[in-house]
Amino acid sequence: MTGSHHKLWRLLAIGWLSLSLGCTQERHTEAVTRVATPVDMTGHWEIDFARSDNLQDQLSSIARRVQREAVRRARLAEEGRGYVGSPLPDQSDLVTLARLAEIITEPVLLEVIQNDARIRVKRDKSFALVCEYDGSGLSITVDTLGIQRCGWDGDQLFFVLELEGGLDVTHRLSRSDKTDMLLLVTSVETTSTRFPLVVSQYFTPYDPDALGYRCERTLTRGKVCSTQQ
Amino acid sequence: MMAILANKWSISRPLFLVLAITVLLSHMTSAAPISDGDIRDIGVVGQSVQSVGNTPVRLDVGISVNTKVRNKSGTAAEAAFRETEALLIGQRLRGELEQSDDWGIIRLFPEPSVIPQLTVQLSILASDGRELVVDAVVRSVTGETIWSSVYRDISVNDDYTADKTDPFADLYITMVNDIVYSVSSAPHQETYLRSLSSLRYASELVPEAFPDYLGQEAGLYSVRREPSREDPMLIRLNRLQDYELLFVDTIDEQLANVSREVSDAYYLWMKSSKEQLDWLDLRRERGVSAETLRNESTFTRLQAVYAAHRSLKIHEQELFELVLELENETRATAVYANEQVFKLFGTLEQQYQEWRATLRRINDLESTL
Repeated sequence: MTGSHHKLWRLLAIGWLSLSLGCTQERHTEAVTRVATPVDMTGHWEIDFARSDNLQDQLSSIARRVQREAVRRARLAEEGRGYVGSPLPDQSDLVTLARLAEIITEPVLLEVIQNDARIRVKRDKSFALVCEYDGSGLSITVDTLGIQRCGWDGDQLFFVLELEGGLDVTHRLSRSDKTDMLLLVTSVETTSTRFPLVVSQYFTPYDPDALGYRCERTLTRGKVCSTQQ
Repeated sequence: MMAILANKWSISRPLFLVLAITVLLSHMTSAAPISDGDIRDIGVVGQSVQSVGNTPVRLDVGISVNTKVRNKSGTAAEAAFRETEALLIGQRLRGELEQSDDWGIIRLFPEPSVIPQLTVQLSILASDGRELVVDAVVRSVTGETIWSSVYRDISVNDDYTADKTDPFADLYITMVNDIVYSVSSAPHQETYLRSLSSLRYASELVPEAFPDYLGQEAGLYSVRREPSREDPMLIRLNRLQDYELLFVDTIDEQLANVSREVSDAYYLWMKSSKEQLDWLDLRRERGVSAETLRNESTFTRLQAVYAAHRSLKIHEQELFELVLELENETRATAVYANEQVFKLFGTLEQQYQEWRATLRRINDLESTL
């Protein structure tokens, strides 16, 4: 291990210590600040890998941010000023975040089905993000393993999923005015670290029929593909 | 599988002893811990409750079902699913009753009806694949409640089999046995009850029809005298009753289709839901231990939670979306009656109300001729 790594881990330890001295954490809550102005996101969308974040880059980026934060906190500590805040994630935490983010952001195809009361964002290899709204702003659904909050924050559709065990996932969907593009920003964080890993994925429209075949995942038959006429 | 009954009514009439013994044996009472709520606990492992056999009279049976299961997610999709689930459970009971040829016609009604001589009102109190709790009230057309119990059945892993047999089969068999038991101890004969049904239906549809023929005291109905079989009003009202049954049978065809479409997805959802609940319980039992937390990596723990959530969501969404699609398809019904085609729209209950209003209009028109 290099000297700089030793320093980093020492700073991280200081950060951890600050937590153990009584910092308490509250789970992330999504603030809705803007009047809902839903936009039409209907259609089939496929990921644009060129524009989307690379998970490795995001992991490096968050590691640099953690390092900078650790230095700042260490400086505050050396100056005798206390610090109250989230503990900094260690290397293992960051790897955990990255691996979770990889699973959560795995879908590369979206199908959005939308009407005045409901939007369903179907994702390949995962469950759909479904939001029913009545104009009141925030819709809350309680499942066995967690709570989902969703709604329109201005022209952005958001989903906040708080799962048992301390995993928080936030998705924000917005549609670009200028180019026909959908942006899905996913934030993954755990209650133990409170340092979100944010992944931006861009999606462009595609015609599923143009592929010459279409696949559907059905409950009873699994993935079923059929050729198009 | 474990079925628990909470019997809220006691039968004071002399009981048909042999049948009662058969029923009690079929329940295989293991511990019978009678608590302050008159709860009969029937501990049964696997699906081993046996049918007691035939009912002594050929009564028509009307099943109506409503759901009181809490909409946990609060979504319209889950609400629609619970409504459909109630119908599936009603159909399931009908199937179990039809195992015996000794009943009359068994129908599923959108709401309790006086047309059949026997009504079974079900309220679904809980259903999550691991537990099914159903409140059942059996009434004679006389108005008498002849049986009422809360049935609770808990599935075990072995109940979910490759051939997709019902994991809660014991609950329905037990319920049917109880219905047979209660009917066999009821005093009235089929002919009398059919006359009473006819008069009660006439009275409900056209209150001024046969006012002195029907007796009512303390919520119980009786036949004071019977109208002539040649009475034109009776003939007309019998025809309207047939029209009402025509609607019920038309709806029934739709429900049979819904049941066929949904049953596979429903079964998989029940199985998935039970697995998740069991997994969650196990995890909570272990999860509270700090030592366990240390031994289990954060990634493993959180990944398992996410995977479990994703799995149930996929099953749930497929089922809910299917139900929503089918619900939209069954929002309209066409009925051919009285040499006309009537189109009815809305929910099942709305269509039923609309159809009964139509029948009243037909009666008004024909009675003034």
